[in-house]
Amino acid sequence: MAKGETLGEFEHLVLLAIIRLGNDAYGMQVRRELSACTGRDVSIGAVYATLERLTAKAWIGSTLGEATPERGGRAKRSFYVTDAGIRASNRTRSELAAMLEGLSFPLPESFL
Amino acid sequence: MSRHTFSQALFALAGLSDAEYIAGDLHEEFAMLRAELGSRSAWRWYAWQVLRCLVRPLALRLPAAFLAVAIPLALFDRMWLFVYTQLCAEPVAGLGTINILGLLAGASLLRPGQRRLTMGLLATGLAAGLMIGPAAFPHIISILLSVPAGAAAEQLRKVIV
Repeated sequence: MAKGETLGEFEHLVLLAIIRLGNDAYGMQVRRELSACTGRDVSIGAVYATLERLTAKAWIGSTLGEATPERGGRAKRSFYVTDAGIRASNRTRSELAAMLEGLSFPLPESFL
Repeated sequence: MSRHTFSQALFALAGLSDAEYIAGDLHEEFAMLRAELGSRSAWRWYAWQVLRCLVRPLALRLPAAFLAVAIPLALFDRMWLFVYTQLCAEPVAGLGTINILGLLAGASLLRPGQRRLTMGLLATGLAAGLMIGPAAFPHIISILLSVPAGAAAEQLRKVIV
């Protein structure tokens, strides 16, 4: 398998957030979904940087919405996961599952 | 200019291609947070988000800007300062260092297409602001001449890379 065909950890989280949000996946909602599910303090800049990377790899696509007053007259960019993105997600999940197999959680703090 | 518009301008200046969408998202979430938490907390959150948005692209751009623009500009500035001192007058202490720092900061903030002209203006303004009087003119001219040098360095980098 070529390097870059599996998702990085944060990339995977962003991609899963887009899938969870369905048709309403735009920057702010992705950020809020990530924060709500993981408890992390995620910045909108980090989300957009990752969205840009995923777009460059053709794992997600985007559509442009119209400008709205609640956004100060700015347009909205909504994201969706492509077939290649779904395949990458499945692949990453399988690899992780294979690595987790046989381990019991929570792991002990020391392996003496 | 509202703070949201100012933030959008900062994002664009930092080279974020999604500046409009990021600013729109922040605007929308800010309104929600202001209703939930109050104005002061919402603004604090907003400022923190803007800062975090700006740090990443600037940190990524700084090494490239240093190699491709700031070093050639600084070298040409030194060269023209040398020429000037050979011709007529005393060099001005400290201006070169301030120019280098200003140009480096400018180079890190600007997109490649904006760099040449804006950096020339920035450096000229910097020099003029620091030294009012006839002694400043050679430095201003030297910095202006160094702008095409920066452009040439960018072209050279493209050929090499």
